[in-house]
Amino acid sequence: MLDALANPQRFMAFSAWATPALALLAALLFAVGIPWALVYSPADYLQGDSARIMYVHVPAAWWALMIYGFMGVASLIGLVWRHALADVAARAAAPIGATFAGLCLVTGSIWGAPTWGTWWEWDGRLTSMLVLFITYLGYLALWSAIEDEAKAARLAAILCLVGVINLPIVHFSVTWWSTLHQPASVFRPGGSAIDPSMLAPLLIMAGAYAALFGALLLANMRAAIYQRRVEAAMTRRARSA
Amino acid sequence: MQNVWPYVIGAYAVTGVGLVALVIAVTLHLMRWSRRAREESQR
Repeated sequence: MLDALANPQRFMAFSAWATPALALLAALLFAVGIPWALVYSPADYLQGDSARIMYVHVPAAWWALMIYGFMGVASLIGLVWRHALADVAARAAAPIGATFAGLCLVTGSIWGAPTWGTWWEWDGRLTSMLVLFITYLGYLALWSAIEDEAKAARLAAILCLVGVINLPIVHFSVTWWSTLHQPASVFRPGGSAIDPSMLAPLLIMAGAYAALFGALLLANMRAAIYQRRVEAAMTRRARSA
Repeated sequence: MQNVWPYVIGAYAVTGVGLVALVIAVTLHLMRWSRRAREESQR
């Protein structure tokens, strides 16, 4: 599958229908998930209605982490096997992951105000998530700062792989240190601790974020391939002039 | 009991604005480069 998509022509044919299909799926899942989260899911017995922020905060956090993991794998493939689309995929995913990480921090801060009585606390989870957000920005800045694309791809891939160290720190920060942030409720030994009436809309919203990521990733990769074609044509014209 | 709905609506509004802005930015970026690639192939 990956080998087949390494060919830009085949990738463009695949993404031409997959991008709108994923965008439609995301719209449908949001249309089901948002009313379910805001109206039909029960209020939490302890936190009341403020727990509804979970349905936008937690999927943003999950996907901010998973997108960075995806970028790490793509960067490794780009560095080791020189896969034609690996660097394009890693770079295309970065602004989406940065947005999800930013939304996770902002919605978490809004959730913290009524629940903890503070908008921000320098605890393990919040700080490591902020580091992830800054790493995303640094990765994007590095790509923009270097003109030679091959060199930029190599350095950005190395930065990305160094940043992967932060992923287990973000995930396990709530168990390693005593923090204000609650421990993991879904991905934990012994299975999910969330009631199915709240888990179902949470998974629908996570699916919506996933489909949106897929659509935006493919759209960004298509734009990058078009951009390369334009630049290659301009170089050819300049040489022949 | 504290009224938490302003916080809930605020979190959903921030998420909505952020995701819509991201979708618009990516769509405009794709439209720009697909148009330029089309123009370039017609030269």
